Amino acid sequence: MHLPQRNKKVAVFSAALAALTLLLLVADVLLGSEPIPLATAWRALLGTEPSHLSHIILSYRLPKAAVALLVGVSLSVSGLQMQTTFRNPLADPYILGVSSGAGLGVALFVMGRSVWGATTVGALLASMGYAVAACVGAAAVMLVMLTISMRVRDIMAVLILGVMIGSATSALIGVLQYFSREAALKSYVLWTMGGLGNVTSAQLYVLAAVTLAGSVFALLSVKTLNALMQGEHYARSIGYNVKKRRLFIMLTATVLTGTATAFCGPIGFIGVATPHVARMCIREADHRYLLPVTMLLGAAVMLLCDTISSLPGYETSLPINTVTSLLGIPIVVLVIMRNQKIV
Amino acid sequence: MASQPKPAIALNDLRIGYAAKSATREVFPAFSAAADRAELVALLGRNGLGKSTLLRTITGLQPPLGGDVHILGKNIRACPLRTLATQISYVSTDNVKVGNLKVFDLVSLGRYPYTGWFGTLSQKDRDVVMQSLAMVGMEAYAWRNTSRLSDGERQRVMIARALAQDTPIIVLDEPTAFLDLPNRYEVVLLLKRLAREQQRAVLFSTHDLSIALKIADKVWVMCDGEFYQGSPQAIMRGNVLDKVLKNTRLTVDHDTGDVHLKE
Repeated sequence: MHLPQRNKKVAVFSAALAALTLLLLVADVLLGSEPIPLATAWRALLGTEPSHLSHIILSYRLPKAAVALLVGVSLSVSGLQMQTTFRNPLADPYILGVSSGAGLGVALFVMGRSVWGATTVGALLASMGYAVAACVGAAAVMLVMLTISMRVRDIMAVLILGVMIGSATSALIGVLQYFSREAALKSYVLWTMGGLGNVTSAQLYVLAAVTLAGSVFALLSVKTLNALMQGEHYARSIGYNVKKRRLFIMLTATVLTGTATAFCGPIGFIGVATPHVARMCIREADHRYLLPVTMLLGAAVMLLCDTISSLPGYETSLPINTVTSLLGIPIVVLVIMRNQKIV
Repeated sequence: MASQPKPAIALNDLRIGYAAKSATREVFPAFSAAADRAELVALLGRNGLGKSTLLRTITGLQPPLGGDVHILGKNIRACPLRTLATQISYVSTDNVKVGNLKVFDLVSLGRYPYTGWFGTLSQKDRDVVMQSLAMVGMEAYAWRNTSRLSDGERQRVMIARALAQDTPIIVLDEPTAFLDLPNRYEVVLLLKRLAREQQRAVLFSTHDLSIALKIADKVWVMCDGEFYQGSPQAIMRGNVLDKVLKNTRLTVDHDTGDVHLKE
């Protein structure tokens, strides 16, 4: 008797959220250093807009909004997966150092080439190289964190170790920077500044494919996530091979984070905050409800952040990471204040 | 098959402990024991002797170091996890703390071995969940948030979760810990009723000596590297409990099973 009501409640909320996401997508495309009227944007889409605005819409604003949407989904899904798998409300790729691991991968790829002098790499290969290097780096940190979390029960200790690993990775990157040539250093520093607007169309396709595949895998694993949320022993006692399932889910989270980070730089606090906002909105723990809502919310929040980062009237835009941090950190603080009895 | 019914749980020369690369740590020497269906078995023993390790080994959560665990006549080493999940359920001391988790949802996790890819509950699954809640007297709590339950209510809900798993064997690790005295009796009496009425084998570890001796059908005792099993009366009258309480300020009354302070 309660089930249809719940389904309906979540469905209504999701529909409203989808409408909001669409609205934010339109706002993100229209608003920027030069606001564009809706009619102009529409004509640009139809290919009948003669002015330079057509170029801005099609080659810059629209791809950037698409990247924001994809990255929002990727990071949020990855954050929810990590929170459930680590059974830690503050787990997310940024806090547990997985993003830093991706950064180290990219640093080794970009600056390592100048250090040990590898030569020609094609353009597509180079952009794929970023993604692969970031995923490998992210996977290395994820494996370390999984091993630690199996031995260390205290979730605060796991968080602190995650921060430590993040710092150690940054230190390693520092060493690399010290030894690398100027050009490589410059391209690495540019990468760390990130941004949703510097993604090439080839990268956009890769990002879209990975986000889609990752989301499908995540949606197929909702039952496993529900089983894992009660802890290792209970999950095993209802027939789940916890180690295998955990590894599989974390592989998805790693590739999602790695790819998003490779193309846009490290983006913090979306992964940790979005699932909590989803929980606050629908008051459900069941991943069959929580995951789709988190995905939609991630897209909406990232589009909002991107819109804020390039408000009309300013030539330059704010780094996306500062906006996500300023929006996400208050939510993290709220979660800690609420959970202090639990943590 | 054999006309003699197989015991629900049979432990043959079982050695429990932890196998690591460097060293194997055996927590208790080899022993054998058995429990039948419709039987409530209490596992007694002081802290650190390996009661939880034994229960985890029986439920297949960790492998035995040696010997065998047979569940309904089948060796669990040869039993896939999914199949095992339909034969034996487990209630641990772990507290499931998930925000917004409804009692109904927590209990329905017990149906997972029977549901499909997305864990969608059929009408039968939903009925089993509600019946399980009714059996522990918690059906009125189905749509409450699990984080708002008292310790006694939580323990009942976790037992309902095991019931929903619909297994012939239920294993519980210290289900009476953290409960007040009336609740301890209530929970153990509930386990007894479940064993009796539904022909399940129920094995639970506890530190409540007198409750266990009054209510259980059979008692397993782990003590000083030796394992004893017997009826509560036999255990009470013998000298096993004296061994358990050796080097303490306590003595046991061999007629009632009550524990007294030494003068």
